[in-house]
Amino acid sequence: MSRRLSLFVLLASALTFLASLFLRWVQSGIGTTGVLSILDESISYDGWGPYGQAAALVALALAAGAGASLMRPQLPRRLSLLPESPCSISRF
Amino acid sequence: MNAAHLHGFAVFGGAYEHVPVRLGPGAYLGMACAAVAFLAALGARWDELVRRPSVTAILAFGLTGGLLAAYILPWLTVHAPRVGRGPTGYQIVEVGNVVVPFIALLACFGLPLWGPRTPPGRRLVAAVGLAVLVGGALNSLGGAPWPYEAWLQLGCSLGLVSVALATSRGLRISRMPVADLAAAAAAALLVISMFLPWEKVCGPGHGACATHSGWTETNSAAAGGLAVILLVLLLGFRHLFVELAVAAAIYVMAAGFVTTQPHEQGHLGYGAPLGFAGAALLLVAAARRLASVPTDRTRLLVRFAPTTACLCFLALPTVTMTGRLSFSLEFDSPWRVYWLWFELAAILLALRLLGRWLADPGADDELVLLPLALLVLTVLDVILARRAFGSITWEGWLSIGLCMLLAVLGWLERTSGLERLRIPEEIWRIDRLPGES
Repeated sequence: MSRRLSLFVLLASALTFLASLFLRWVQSGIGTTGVLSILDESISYDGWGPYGQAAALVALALAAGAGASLMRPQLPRRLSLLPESPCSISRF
Repeated sequence: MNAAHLHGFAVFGGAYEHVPVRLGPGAYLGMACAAVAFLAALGARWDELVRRPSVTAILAFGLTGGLLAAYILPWLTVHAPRVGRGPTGYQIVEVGNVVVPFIALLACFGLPLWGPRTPPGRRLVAAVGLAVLVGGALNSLGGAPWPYEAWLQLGCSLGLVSVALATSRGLRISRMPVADLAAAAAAALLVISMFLPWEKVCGPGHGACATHSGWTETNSAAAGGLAVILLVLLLGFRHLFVELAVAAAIYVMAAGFVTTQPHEQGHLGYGAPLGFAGAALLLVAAARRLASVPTDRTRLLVRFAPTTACLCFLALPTVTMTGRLSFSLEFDSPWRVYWLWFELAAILLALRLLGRWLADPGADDELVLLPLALLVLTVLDVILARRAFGSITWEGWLSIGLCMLLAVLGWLERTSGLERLRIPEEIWRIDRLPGES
């Protein structure tokens, strides 16, 4: 897989993940189904639980890193936080 | 992990309502996105992965995977056999809501360290840090019977330490500078204190007292997680992240304020003063960096505005965390305790930005990028607060305004330099027309 394609996929998946957190992550198994389930008043939670928030931060960082690498490939290298960082996105 | 947690939460609520619950479309979409991102990351580094990996690397990957999987297992057991035939019949095993994301972060960070070119000391430090965090999360279980997933977590983390020890034959411990050694000792003191009682809650009159360790309270657990990450980076990479040190101290302070609230029945346990001492020493270690701040008077005057804006922004989440604001002020703040991770990220970013303004970086990209990251975070936080409580308060607008001001100041500093910034003379000059007196 080419480097740019990987970055595009990372960017798209991170942003879609963020969008998914606004949808229903848990809902009651009874009641209306399909499109009408949006109107269901029973138990439902969106994805913004404590772990969802932490995952959102990682997704934001991933999207920012992938976006920056696509637009300005030199930028992540200039901003590397750690010497020989094992998690540097610029190594992609 | 998020889906498992929310599902368990809903099962708990559904048990009272007699309503079965299931995962919704958001959970499936979120998990699919996470899987795609994971595969994209694997594909990008496929060349490195197809090279024959060592047995220890495979073992470490397996243990890390087992550790993370142990946190995805259901945390609510209905009709738990260990609980016996009590009135409830179910057992909630929620280990360290705050500590688990730190564990996941460190576990993922540690995976690339098992490569052949990484110094063995780094993976050993990361594995020990992981074991300490797992111990902290399990510590929050107290005297409750341990379910099998707790044993799995403990076994995998200790297994990682064993593998790291077994592969650390060429380990060399070089001498650290005294300042870094003092910072490491302060962070270690803070982490040790987390396992001791931080809070003692007694019933009315001479009722029975219960003690809680530092890992059970949100703010102190966050401080413990930050201190462990600080130690891993300091001992493994020989870099002191001042932001982590100051953020840990802020969370310790907030934990002290929350525990000693006048209307609460809690008192500080004997672990808390040790934690306060560790946090104070961390602040001293961080303050040593102030010695390198240029003392040019003009420069300090020019940077007064951005540093003040940074401090004002930092004050908003910090003061809210203490629980000492009036109810309306605390309730109105977008940085209230519900958004713990946004609060933590905002504090870390603001501290980093403050450090960049105080240092002498010259044309620094971070002066623009950090306020923009803060702005994204703040806007997301305000949107969530608006969805949950139906309004955007002045504290939300103030946070957004400060981020925008900091972004503009950073852009000006990066492009022309604030010190050289002059308002064009044409704006000030008043040309008088002929005949005017």
